[in-house]
This record gives sequence, structure tokens and C-alpha cells, in this order.
Amino acid sequence: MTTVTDNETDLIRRAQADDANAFCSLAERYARRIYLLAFHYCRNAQDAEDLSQEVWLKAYQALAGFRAESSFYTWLRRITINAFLNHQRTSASRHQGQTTIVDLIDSDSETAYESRSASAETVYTKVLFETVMSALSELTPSQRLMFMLRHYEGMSYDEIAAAMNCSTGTIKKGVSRAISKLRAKLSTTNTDEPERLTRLAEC
Amino acid sequence: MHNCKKTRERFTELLLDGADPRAVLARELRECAECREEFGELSETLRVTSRLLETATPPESYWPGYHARLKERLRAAQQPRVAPGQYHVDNRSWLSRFVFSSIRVPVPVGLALIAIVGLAFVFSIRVPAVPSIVYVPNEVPVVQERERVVTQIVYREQPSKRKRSKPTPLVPKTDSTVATLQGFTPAEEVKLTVIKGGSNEK
Repeated sequence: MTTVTDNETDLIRRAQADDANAFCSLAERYARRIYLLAFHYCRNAQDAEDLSQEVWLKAYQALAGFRAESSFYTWLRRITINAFLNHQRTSASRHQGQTTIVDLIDSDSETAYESRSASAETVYTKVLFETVMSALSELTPSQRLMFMLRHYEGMSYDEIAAAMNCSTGTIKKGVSRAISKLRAKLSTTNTDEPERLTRLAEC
Repeated sequence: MHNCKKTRERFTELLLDGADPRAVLARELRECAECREEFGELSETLRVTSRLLETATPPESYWPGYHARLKERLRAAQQPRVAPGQYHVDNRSWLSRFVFSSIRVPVPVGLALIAIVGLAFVFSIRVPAVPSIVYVPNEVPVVQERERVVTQIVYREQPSKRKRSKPTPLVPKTDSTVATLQGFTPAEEVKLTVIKGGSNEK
């Protein structure tokens, strides 16, 4: 653990001295987490890549100001949240068409997921994915972000409130509403029956 | 005393924290069927959304391309920066650098200077000198109000005792009119008229 931290500190120091390779090594460590946050936020593979890379560019530009008062990931997550909020403001009128994971699974493109066998599990995964994505699309971007930070990132309400610049009560309400909407949407689809869903998909 | 609302809030928080509420809220969940049902639905919702994390994670083959594209973008972002080894020292004087620099620099600067000088000239002509303040004493007569009381006595002829005579016009009693008021007695009401105003000069 100490080695990892020391190594990370060294990478940060080198990246602060304009070493792009050191910065890329840092990015490799956290790229998956940032990408997944972006993907849940955008619900679109291409937008998720763009947004997550925008986060890394902003982090690179702001790295000189990193004082190691918090962990590197905490600092990076703050940049991520700000990037998401800016994206929310600027992309309010953007297109609504989405590339879903089903498209990615089915496509043969270089950036897409590798093709998988059409097993029952794969079909179930597809249906489950579509269901959850559809449920997430019922939330507002702010609710989605609050829910993600609370559920996936395990942040406290106070931490989220500080990061999103609003009150703790607002965050609590937002998370509660998000869960209620997700429950209502997901309860209409029984997602715990992979065999039945597979049969439906094969018909 | 079981409180459904508080129990639900508690197990929601425990689930979001990744803990198992059944250990903490075993009695509440055992006793309340509605809370048990709510707990089942909520834990299922959160389980399904958590599974999305695994589902949405791209395969390993995706990441080399991702990092290559990120490097490309970082390189593009780095280009405006001047690397330490590439720094070029310009030994020319500031005036020659200014004159021979791109037209984007001297022309707007020159226009701005002309505008500033022109505006300064226009304002120096148009704006008059600041007037000095001169104090001149000016005596103004103060009008003092005084009350003037005019007493008017109205005389009225008594018709029963005396023989009728020509009606005399009502005039204020003065020395010259006393003689003409023979046969008249003052009326019961004395009218007083107070006239305010007037000045000492009058």
C-alpha cells in the first residue's frame, strides 16, 4: 500500500513537471472508474469516452494546483463532478439519440466491446442493461449524479453536497427520489428471470 | 414501537452504505410485512443497478485504444505550451519587436491610443473651468406678521318708536358719521373681523 502511494506520489510529482507519460500512468489507474461514472451519467458510450477524457484533460491542466491535501482520487472526483455539471449545462439541447451497450455488444468496431456468445447470460445481461439504462434515463441529470455518487462512489451526503454546491437536504431528497423512480421503473420488469428473458429474446 | 418510515429510512441508508440491514433491523423486518416487502424491492433495485457497473465496464481490449486517444488529446493540448528547450530568446528591443510584430498587436494598440488622445482633447475643450464659489451678502427684509383688529359696529334703526325715515346706509362709526347716526341703536351682535397679514412698512 505504501509502495503504491509512494509510486503515485512520484507519478504526480513527475506529471506536475510536465511528464505526459507519468500522467498517462496515473490515468490508467483510474480511467475505468471515471469512465464508468461518465457512462452512467451520459448513458452513451461515445459521450462517456469524450466526457471522461475531458476530465483527464482538465485534471492535467489543473495538476499544478494539486497540493495532496486529499487523495488524488478525491481531487480527481471533484474535477469529474464539475465536468459533469458543466456538461449538463452545455449539452441541455444536444441530441437525445444514444448508443447503448446493446449497440456496443452487437457492433464490431474497435472501440466496442468484443462480441460475446449469445448465451442466455448475454441476452439476460443485454435486457438487464437496457432496463436499468431506461430506468436511469427517467432521472434528471442531477438526480443521476447524486445517486451515482451515493451508491457507486459511497460518498456521504455532506461530501456530495459540498461537491455539488448545494445543501445536504437537497442531496437527500434527490437520492430518495432517484431510488423511488428506479424502483418504480424496475419493479415493472422482473429482472430476476434470466431464463424467461432468454426465451423471450430467442423468440 | 415500530415506525415504518424510520425503519425504511434506516435500511435505505444501510443498503446504500453497502451494509446488510437484516443484521441491524432483524426485529423490525420480522414484525412488519410491509417493511419486509419494501426492503426486498429496494435491495433488489440497488442490486440490479450495481450489476450495471459490471455490465458497463468495457473489456480489456477497449483500454489500449482509449489511452492512445487520451495521449493524442493530451499532446494536442500540450502544443500551445512552450517547452523549456524550445524557448526562443528575442534580443530585439521592445520597440522593434512591437513595430515588427503581427498586425494584430500594433494596429489595435495604435487605434486605442488615438481614441484616448482624441477623447482627452475633446473633453479638455468642452468641459468649462470649474466655477469658483463667491459669497455675496444679500439683505432681505423680513416680513413680520401682525394682527390688525378692525372693529365694526353695525347700527340698526328701531322702527317702533320713531317715525320712519329714509334708510341710512351702514357705515363704520367715525367722527363725521356720528351725527348721522341719531335715532339708531347698536345691534346686539358686534361683528369682529380679524385680518391677518400686513407689514411694518404699511
